[in-house]
Amino acid sequence: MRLSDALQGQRIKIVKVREECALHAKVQAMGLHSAREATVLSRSGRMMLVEVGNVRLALSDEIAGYVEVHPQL
Amino acid sequence: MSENGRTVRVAIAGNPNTGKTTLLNRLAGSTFAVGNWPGVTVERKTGFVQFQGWRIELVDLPGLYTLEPLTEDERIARDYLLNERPDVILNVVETPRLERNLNLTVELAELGIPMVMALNMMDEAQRLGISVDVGKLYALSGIRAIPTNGRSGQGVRELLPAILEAHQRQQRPTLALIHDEDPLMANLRAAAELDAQSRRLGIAEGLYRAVVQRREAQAREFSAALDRVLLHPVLGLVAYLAIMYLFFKVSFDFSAPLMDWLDGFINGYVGQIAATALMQIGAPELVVRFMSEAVIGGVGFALTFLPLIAVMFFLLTLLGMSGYMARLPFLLDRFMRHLGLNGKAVIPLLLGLGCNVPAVMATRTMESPRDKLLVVMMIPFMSCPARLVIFSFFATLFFPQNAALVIFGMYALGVVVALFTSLLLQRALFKHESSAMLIELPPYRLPHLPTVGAIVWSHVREFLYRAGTVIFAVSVVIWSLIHLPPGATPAESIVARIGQAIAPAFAPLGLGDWRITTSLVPAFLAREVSLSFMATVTAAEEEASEERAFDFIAETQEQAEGLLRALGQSVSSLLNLNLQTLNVEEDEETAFLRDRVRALFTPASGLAFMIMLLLYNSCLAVYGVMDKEVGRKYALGFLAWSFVVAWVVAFVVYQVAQRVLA
Ligand SMILES: Nc1nc2c(ncn2[C@@H]2O[C@H](COP(=O)(O)OP(=O)(O)OP(=O)(O)O)[C@@H](O)[C@H]2O)c(=O)[nH]1
Ligand SMILES: [Mg+2]
Repeated sequence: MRLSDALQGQRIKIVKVREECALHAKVQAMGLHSAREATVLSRSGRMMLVEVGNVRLALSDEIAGYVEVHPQL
Repeated sequence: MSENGRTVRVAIAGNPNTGKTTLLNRLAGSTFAVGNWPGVTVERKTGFVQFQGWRIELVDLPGLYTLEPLTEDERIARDYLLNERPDVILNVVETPRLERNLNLTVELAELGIPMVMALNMMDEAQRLGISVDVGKLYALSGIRAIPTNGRSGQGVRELLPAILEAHQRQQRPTLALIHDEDPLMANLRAAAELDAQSRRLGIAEGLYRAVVQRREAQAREFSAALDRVLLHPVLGLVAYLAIMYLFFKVSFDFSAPLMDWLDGFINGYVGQIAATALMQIGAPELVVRFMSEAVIGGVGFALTFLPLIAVMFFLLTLLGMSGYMARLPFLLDRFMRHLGLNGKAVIPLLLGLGCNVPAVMATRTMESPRDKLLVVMMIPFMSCPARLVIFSFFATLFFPQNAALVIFGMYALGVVVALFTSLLLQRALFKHESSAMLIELPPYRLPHLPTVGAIVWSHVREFLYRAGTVIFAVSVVIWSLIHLPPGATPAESIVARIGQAIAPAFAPLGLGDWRITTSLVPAFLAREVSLSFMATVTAAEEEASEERAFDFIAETQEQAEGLLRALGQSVSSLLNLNLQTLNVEEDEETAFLRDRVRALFTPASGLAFMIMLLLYNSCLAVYGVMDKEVGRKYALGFLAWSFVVAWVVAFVVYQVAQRVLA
């Protein structure tokens, strides 16, 4: 599944960030890269708030759509 | 690379919002802007320190996540690191987020430049139970790490010897010296097949695991709890509106009593002392007039507004330093998107309420050139304190019952025209293009008051500087022109002739008087000059002031009591949630300018004048920075457009108001 499909409160593990994403390198360098676990803190419109470790990122669906994830328990 | 072996050039590099500028300010005693949102620094800033006979040149760079730049500020940082090859890189990391920060560290290490790491925000790391084994970090990476706290200054001085040592010994990062059993090595092996970035991410993660100890986390809940309210789709908006209301309310109500006092102090007290002193030493009448008309009338008038400017910057700084401003792009993205804008545009637009110049520069953090251009063309319509000076003067003069409403209306009009401009541009230039948004939200931080004080002071200093230079120069030039040709009355002067020449263009707005039209010309340099100008002209038209008995001691005592009273009123205004109508007491000393301006305008033409000054460009400095950021074509285009809009809106409002208010 893609990060953009994740629900509020869901915990996920990142598989990869697809290279077609123009911000590919930046997204990964900001902390969303493979094997990292993250929590979707909230969603509002096209934006979602994601917590990875101590980092909190706000990203729009366009970007979240490029992030492949696995749901975690 | 250094010209004489005694200089070290140090690049301060790291993720955004890690405290790079804070550390530079501590080391070099500079006062560059800091704030709790990513993207405060958008250009190179340099500071110097002398240390053990060395001159250490510290170059503060915009924050970066990778060396693959997408935005202009990132490009500036990357270009400096790659093309200018500093002697040493000072990598500032946020210790609580070291895991993520190390991604960039690994990339920087590949540049092969000697490197020192500042483990900043140690205070927050300790609260989170995070500790770093600096010995192991050095052993694994060849990077000397110094724990620092930018807020208290702890550890900051120790960066200097570490920098010198790294330079003298050419300590380059050696991420290859890795023991076999280290988790780093396992990660390296796993990453061996991967692309460059994945390999770096693997190394960073391995390094992190090797050097960081975490006790159970606590204390982080504060930001999370606050965000549940402030970023809530409904509650968050209510909170936003309440915060903006308080921002304006406190700006007006807290500063109003102080401005009243300052007005009387400058005109009544300082002006009287100066006049009395000059007359007693037998100064020629022209000098006395110069003093009271150009200096007290022009410059003194502008200074009256100092409290307003200080309070506004104080509050704006609080919004930035607390971490609230960093969240607005997320909160307001929904609305911005409907208007074809990127949520990130909120920060430059809000900064525009302080000063349009840094606001325009702040657009460098936007990923898409389209978004950037749109926002740059909107910013000058965001009213700044210099314009507020005009509004508060006119609104209290002509609409004493509804002053706050009129001022609010001006701000709102600016926003509406900005949005209209952006929509027009989107129609004319761009197809719909959705732009992605990706930002980091920093934790909320209690603003560090000395830092806030320093930032406010730097704005106040800037304003004083302007009053002492631009406003003073304009006042002097205008004062001279009013008295030229020699022997002419102001109405026959050169200034009057210039004003009369352009008057027909403004007559339909009710602004056909030469004293008004001429004041619009210097307003291009700085807004508040237009009122200073009127103050100078009207002061010059006043017959030589009659001498009054001046009792120094009694007057001084009265001023001191007045100041205390004003402070009391300011503080007690904080307890009242309602916006008090900016009631300006008319004391006789300053009533003169008000009377003259009242005679020059009607309420309707007063509105037209405010609108002209709100919408037509914003000032010379903004024109300059627009030219630099988006090019001459758009900067000139903006001038023309803003003039047309200003004229048309002022015309319509004048015509309507004339009928309604008659
Ligand atoms: N608690 C804590 N806060 C700090 C420390 N150092 C800096 N800050 C705060 O962190 C925020 C960011 O500081 P800046 O110096 O503007 O960061 P920067 O790295 O220059 O940021 P950009 O220019 O946006 O890349 C400010 O609110 C500082 O007051 C520290 O050691 N501890
Ligand atoms: Mg900075």
